[in-house]
Amino acid sequence: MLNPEVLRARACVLAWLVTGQFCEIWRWVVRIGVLVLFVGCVLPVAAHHSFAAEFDDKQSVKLDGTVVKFDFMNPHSWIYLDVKNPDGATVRWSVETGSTNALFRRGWRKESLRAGDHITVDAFRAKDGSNTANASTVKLPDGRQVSAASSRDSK
Amino acid sequence: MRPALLVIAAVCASAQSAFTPPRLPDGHPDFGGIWMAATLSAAFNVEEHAASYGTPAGPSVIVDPSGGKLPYLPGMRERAIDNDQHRERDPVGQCHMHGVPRVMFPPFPLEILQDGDYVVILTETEHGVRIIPTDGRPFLKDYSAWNGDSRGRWEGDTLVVEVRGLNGKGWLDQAGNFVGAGATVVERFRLTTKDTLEYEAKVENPAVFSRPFTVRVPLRRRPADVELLEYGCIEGERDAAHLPSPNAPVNGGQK
Repeated sequence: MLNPEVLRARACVLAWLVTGQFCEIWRWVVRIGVLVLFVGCVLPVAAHHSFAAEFDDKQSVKLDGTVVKFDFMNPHSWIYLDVKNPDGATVRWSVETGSTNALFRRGWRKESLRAGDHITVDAFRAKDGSNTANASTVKLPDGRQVSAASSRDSK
Repeated sequence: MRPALLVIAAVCASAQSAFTPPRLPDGHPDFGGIWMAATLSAAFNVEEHAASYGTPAGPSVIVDPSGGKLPYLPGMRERAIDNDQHRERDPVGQCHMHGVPRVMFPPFPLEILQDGDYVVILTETEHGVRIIPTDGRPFLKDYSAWNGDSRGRWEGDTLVVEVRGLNGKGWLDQAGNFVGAGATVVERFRLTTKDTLEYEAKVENPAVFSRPFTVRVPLRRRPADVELLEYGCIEGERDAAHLPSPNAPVNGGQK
């Protein structure tokens, strides 16, 4: 395995020979790496259970509705959402997200969703056919689309 | 250029010398800090696996045997495959402890504390606490638990931990690989850079495997602002009612 200290030393010497500044290349490597981390938001997250245990990746669903309750807890937070069907009937959905801890580290807070908020959730339905789903992203009332840190959110 | 080449040679030589870990006053390496598996590949499947929905592709973390496959006894791989098709049986999905070695590479951070006579590993998930005496005391008698009973010793700068008393119900990953009754583990912890803690676990379980196997997972130090958070697993556990076998008994590899 490549030792980061060796890589750093080589990059610094190379930088010195090319630019005359001892560690300029390494600084740029770090800057670009940090940028990739933030932009890509690649900190891996996975739930305590397997996505496939409960949910069906063939049944994606977009839920546009009103928040009834947001339970910010472990091992999964849950959004309870009233969604109006095309026929006018209102259906309540239970939408699972990642753990409180994973969400908290991504900037979510208990007050991030309030009863009455209008949100749109991209999710996958439970295999049992109930109105239960696993969220991948949530579009907040202010228009921001955020990761739900769910069990599939590990790529 | 000649002086520059000399400098290159000197820098390369010094950089490639053995890493010297930071030490505590007792002279042992300081493993203290918040750590997490560098990748989640092992949490998903300790063997090489293709991508499937919710699971990115990943390499095997099994470094022995050389083929990277678990050396299951005849009939045992079929049990693992059956587990894989019934992931609702995963003990961790039901808020049970991970068991060793899985507890060392979950998708949540862990913290290591040292005080001379103990190394303590706190795992965020399931609020796991592994208290590892390093003072030579004997194992507990007739003990059985998810994470078993650990006893540590130092071999140079490597912490070697023997684990007995595992309850035989633990899975190795989310894919249903498992250990059974009588499993013992020898773990080895070693700093390879200031931010990399190499973790190895040699598992012996003659009831399930034809020979011992060893997994190796590098743990990466988490940034200084990461703290362990509470993980009350029962509170938000509302999946069971939607699982294919909601009342499936938690019994690891046993059907």
